[in-house]
Formats: sequence, C-alpha cells, structure tokens
Amino acid sequence: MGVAILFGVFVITLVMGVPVALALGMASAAYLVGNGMPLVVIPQKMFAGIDVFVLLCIPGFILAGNLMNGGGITERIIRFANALVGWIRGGLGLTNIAGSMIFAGVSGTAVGDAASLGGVLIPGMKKAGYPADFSAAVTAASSTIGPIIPPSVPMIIVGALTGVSVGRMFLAGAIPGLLLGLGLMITCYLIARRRGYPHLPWRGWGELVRAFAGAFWALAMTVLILAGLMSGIATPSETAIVASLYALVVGGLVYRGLAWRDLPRVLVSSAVSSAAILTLVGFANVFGWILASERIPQMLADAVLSLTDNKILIILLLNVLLLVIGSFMETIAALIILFTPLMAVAVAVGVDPVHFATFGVLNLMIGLTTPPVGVCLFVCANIARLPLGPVIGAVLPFLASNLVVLLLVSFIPALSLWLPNLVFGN
Amino acid sequence: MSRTIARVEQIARLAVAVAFLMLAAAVLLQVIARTFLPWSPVWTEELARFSLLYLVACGAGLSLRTGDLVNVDLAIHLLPPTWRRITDTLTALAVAVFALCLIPPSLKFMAIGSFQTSPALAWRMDWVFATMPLVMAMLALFGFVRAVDAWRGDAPSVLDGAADG
Repeated sequence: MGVAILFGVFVITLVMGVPVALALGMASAAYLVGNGMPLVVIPQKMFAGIDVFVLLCIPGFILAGNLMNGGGITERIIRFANALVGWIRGGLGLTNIAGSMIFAGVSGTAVGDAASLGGVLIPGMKKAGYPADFSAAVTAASSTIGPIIPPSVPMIIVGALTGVSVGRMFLAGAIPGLLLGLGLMITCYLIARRRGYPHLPWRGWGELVRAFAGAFWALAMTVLILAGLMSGIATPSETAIVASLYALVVGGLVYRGLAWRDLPRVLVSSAVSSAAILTLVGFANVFGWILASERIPQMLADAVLSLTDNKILIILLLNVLLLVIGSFMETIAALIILFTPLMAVAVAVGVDPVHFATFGVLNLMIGLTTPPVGVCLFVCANIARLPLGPVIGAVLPFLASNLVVLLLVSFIPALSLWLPNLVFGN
Repeated sequence: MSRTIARVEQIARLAVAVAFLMLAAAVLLQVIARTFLPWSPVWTEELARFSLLYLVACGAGLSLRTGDLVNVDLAIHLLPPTWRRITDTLTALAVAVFALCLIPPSLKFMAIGSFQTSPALAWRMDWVFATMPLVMAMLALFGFVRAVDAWRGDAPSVLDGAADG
C-alpha cells in the first residue's frame, strides 16, 4: 500500500509539471505520513545525499564548461571541426558530430552540449541547405556523447552512490565515446550521400592548422582532466576545480572572450545549475532510501535473477530495462533510484562495476533522444523551431547507430575496461 | 513586497557566489598543499563539503525560478493557454506549501546538530544542518514567486533549454 502511494503521488505530481526533485520529495513525504513515520527523515536523508565529497565535481565541471563557453570556445571548436571534416559530403552534419566529441571533453552534460552547439549549428545548417529536422536530429544524437567522454555528471553521481571510482569510469568512457562519434559520422555520411547534401570546399592545410591552434586550448583541457586523473595527482573533485581555473585563464587571457565583469554572472549561473542538480540528488536520496527500506531493489534484483542467470541474457535484459527507464525518467532520478539495484544484478553475474556503469550511463543518455521524455530532442526541436514529430523521424537512423555501439560496449568489456585497467591496474 | 523579494534574490545570488568561491579555494588549497608543501591541512575537505551544502541551500530557490530545476511539462504543453496558466500556478503553489511544511521537521533535524561538532573544523554541526531549513525556506519563498510569475504567464519551461542531464 505504502509503495502504491509513493509511486502514485510521484507520477501524478510529475504529470502536473512539478519539478522532478520536488515530485520525488512529495511522493516520499506522502509515503512517510501514510506509514506514520516522522518527516524529519526527509532533511536527514537529503543532507546525507548531498554531503558527499565527490559531488564537488559537479559545480567544478559546470563552471569550467560555462567559462570555456563564455570565452568563445564554441565557435573555435566548430571552426576546427569544420576544417577537419566539413569538406566531406554532409560536412556540417559531420562538423556537428566532431564538435560534440570535442565539446564533450569540456562539458559533462548532454543537454549542455545540445544547447551550446545546437544554438550555433542548427541555424547554420538550415542556412546551408540542410533540412531542419535532420539538423536537429544530428545535434540531439551527437549530444549523447557529452557524458560518455569525460568529464561526466552522471558518472560522478554513480560514483557518489556506489563508491565506484569516478576516475576509472571517466577513462572507461573514452573509447565508447569515440565509437559513438565514429558510428554517427558514418550514418551521417551515408544519409548525406544518398540525399545529396552539400559539402564545403577543402580550405587547405593552412586553415586546418590555424583552426587547430584556435581550438588547441579546448582540446588541452580534455588532456588536462585525463592527465590529472591518470597521474593520480588529483582526485576528480580537485581536477574539476583545477579545470575551472584553467578555463578562467584560457577564456580570459588567451581567448579574451571573457570580461571580468561577466565573471560574477557566469559564477552565479553555474552555481544555480549545480544547486538544481544537487537538490534533485538530495530528494532522490530520500526516495531511494524508502525504496531500499521497502526492499524493492532486492525484489527487482531477485525477479531479474529468477528469470535467468545467463550473463548474456542478463546484460540484454538490463539494457532493455535501462533504455525504457531512460526514455521515461529524468537521468539523475533514474540513476539514484535504480542504479544500485541494477548494478547488484550485473555484479551477481560477474559484470565488472565499471563496465556496468559505462553501458548503464550510455543507456540513459540514449534515452535523452527517444520519446516521450527525450530532453535533448525537445531542446533541439525547439532551437530548429520544429514540432517533435519530424525530429523523432529524423533521429531514428542515428538512434540505430547509437544502439549498435551500445551493444558493442555491453558485450565487449575491453572497450570500456582496457584503458582504466591499463592506467590504474586491475 | 516585490522589493523585499528582489533583495532576497540579490542576497541569495551573492551567497551562492561566496559559497562557490570558498569551495574552490578549499579544494585548490588542498591540491597545492599536498603537491608543494610539506604539510597539508586536514580541514579543507570538510570546508569544501560544507560550502557545497550552503551553495545548494542558497541556490535551490533561485533554480526554481530560473527553470534549472527541471520539470516534465509535456502534458502541460498540450493544455489550452488558460488551463496551462492555472496548472502552472497551482503546481508552483504546491511546491511552496510542501517546502513550507518541511521547515519544522528540518528545524528538528538542525537541533540534533547542536550536540555534535565536526571532526576537523570543530564546528557545531547545527550550523551545517541549518542548510536544510534554509533550503526549504528558499524553495517555499521562490515557489510563491514562481506561482506569481506563472499567473502572469511567464514561467520558465524545459523547452527553453534550461535543464540538466
């Protein structure tokens, strides 16, 4: 009965348009009151959920991304991507994907990527003669790379929840991130060739070198983050803060796109975005605690394991489950509520936690580009000024490409585990 | 009334900036001390975590107003404008009332802290636990502000691109 109240209130408030964080809070409160338990559990569990050192990464990486963006990095990344792949047929689509891969190394969220790159590239592609739905679809599909290539906000939250090393997860995402980009580029090229989309003229090696020099400091930030983690000099939280300091220097002194008077605004807006994510983490922690006390994760795990204990089938089942969850639920809420029990299932059949975290996060990111709750799809459709329908149609081939990579990452553990094991040992 | 709210908003923005700078300073000191100095202070980790809690406490209300605190407003978007305005206003009011109801239990939680001190900084923990009643108060205040905004027809939407994930 208590559980029915919990989920009932959650769904109703969510549909009414209550922010996800507070919908989780209201559902938890209804459960507690219904079961005669004290409401003091809410501040207590919320506090415990936020008071975690590794969560410091979130404001750090968000600030670093915003500082780089404010410093004019987006245009430079696009120029470099354009010089690199723009001359191939479907060039601006490829630029969009390559840009997402580079931008992924600066930002940790998919929606951030979709909004920053989409804001420039979707209008640009439309002007160059690409259909609006294709432009929005490429942007949405490639934004899923953002949280797979480090840094990654969802992976930080997994680390805070399960104690799996954030450094290992970050490294584990590198190769799958490159594969996602490669798959999308092939898909984009094939579509562009069949439909005769335009391409830009090759502008020569000179332009490529100049564009590389322009984007160098952005690429160097990815290297800085990876090197900090790989060398063991800094923890992920420390890396995040060092990265924002770096972004401040690059944006202000090197690119000169950031004025001192912009800084307070960037600082406050990054803090407010982080506060929103962490409020969600806090309320979701209360909700997760109630689920755990009702032994729901255990029941879910038992139910899955009672169906089969075949590793391949379990991995497939987890993928289907996570894809469905990812297309209905907000990423962070889904992570906090369901990641721990599903990881328990995976570990029970011998899947490495870092491997599970990689394909688990990938599943939820793919969910951001599928209806009904595909936030990246909404953002891109909105920038392209299109209704959702045509964009959903146009995203299908790219979705298929992402699903192929998902299967590869799920069934070839080495794709995610090889790099972290090489650096940190087994 | 609106002047008081503008003042609170200004103070909250200043407070999140200060909390963020303290957090960054504590973490940077930690890296520098460990790498370059023969000793490293034990309290930096604690200070950074407490700053994060204050950042959340002061920023949550603001994020409600900016739309950073995401909602799924797909169903709401299907409603005719008048009904949408009414629903938006009612949900914002519900958020405010809910947060208001959580202030007393949060104060109770804070009181538990008066018996504890933090291990490294030796701060009284009720000063840290105070972030919970503070976050509820800010959510309540800005919930009401958002209800007024929504009634006037300018509530932020996830479709404008303010979201996480």
